Amino acid sequence: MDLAITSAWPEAPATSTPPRSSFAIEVSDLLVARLKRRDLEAFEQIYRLFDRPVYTLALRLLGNPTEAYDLSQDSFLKVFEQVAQFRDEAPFWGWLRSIVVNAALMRLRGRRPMEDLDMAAIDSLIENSPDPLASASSHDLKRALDSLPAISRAVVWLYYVEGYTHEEIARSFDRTVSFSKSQVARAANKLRALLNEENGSWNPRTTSY
Amino acid sequence: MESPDDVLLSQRLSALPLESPPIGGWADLRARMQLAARKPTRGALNPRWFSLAAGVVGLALLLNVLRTSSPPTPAPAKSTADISALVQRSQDLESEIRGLRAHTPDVDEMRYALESAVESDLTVVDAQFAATDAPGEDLWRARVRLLEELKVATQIDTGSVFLQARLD
Repeated sequence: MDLAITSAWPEAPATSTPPRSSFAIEVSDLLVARLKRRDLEAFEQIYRLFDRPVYTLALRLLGNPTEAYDLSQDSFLKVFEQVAQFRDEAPFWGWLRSIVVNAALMRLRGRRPMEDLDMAAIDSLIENSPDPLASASSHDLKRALDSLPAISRAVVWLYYVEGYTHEEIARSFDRTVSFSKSQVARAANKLRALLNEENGSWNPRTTSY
Repeated sequence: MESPDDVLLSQRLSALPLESPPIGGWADLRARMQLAARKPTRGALNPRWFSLAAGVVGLALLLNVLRTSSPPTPAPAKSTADISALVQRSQDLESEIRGLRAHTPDVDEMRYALESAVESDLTVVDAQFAATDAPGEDLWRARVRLLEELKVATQIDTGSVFLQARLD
């Protein structure tokens, strides 16, 4: 990404510290031990702790509420069935998150990544414009995110929010690191272009692919 | 992620509010668990399945020993007071099992499998609780019986049981 404009977002000034994933909820060893014993009360506690982060991640990756709910339920069921495989060296939330991500990527297989064709138009849209991220509302940002193609939205979310590296994304998608880098850059630019459109008038038809 | 633009995008996306799943998710999940517990699983014939099957037979024998050695089930109670007693007994047993487990955090594979077998039955019973507004006496009695089995399974020294079974 090579945008010349430096933006300022008053509510949260830019720093080099990556934000924590909403998944990063510490779970006590005792609770995990109870879950490994298939304690339903412990499982319910885990469910209540993580139901929103799991559903949110599923929704961001898949873009469809019904599919996201189904994936969330499948993921929790897998947690209960496979918790014996969880090793305590890594945080529990990271293990749970990987279950959700892997299941979502399985469902995304076969969908097409963003292609090069519209890049010139996107570049012209964002060129010499103030960074729309600085002034966009959360509502507009979410709508722009929803308008991205599924693969691009998933890559952007994993990279910018969940803190995946390009290497991890490449492995997850069974693609190259270059694929990850180009998808992240294109999707980020497209997101800004969509927000620029938003500053004019939003027209869903212009955002379809 | 080093450029200020990347950091800004990361912060803005991360600040988006969490989404809420449809209500009733936990009840749905319990229903799925019940279905999953009933669904027969298929697998390719593998030597591991034979040893697993042998283990299951052993567990069934062990459970049978436990069940027959338990005190006889009292005659069915019919009053609300009896249900209250069963509810209380169920709570007491859960508390006792939690206490026992707190003292034995590590379990061997055989005991884990034994406990899991009983808990699997318990999951089915609990799913029936979730599906009814007024669980009857039979359901409470089934739950108490399974919790009693689970308590025994939590305490049992599986090694000596099987050794004794072999000697007999």
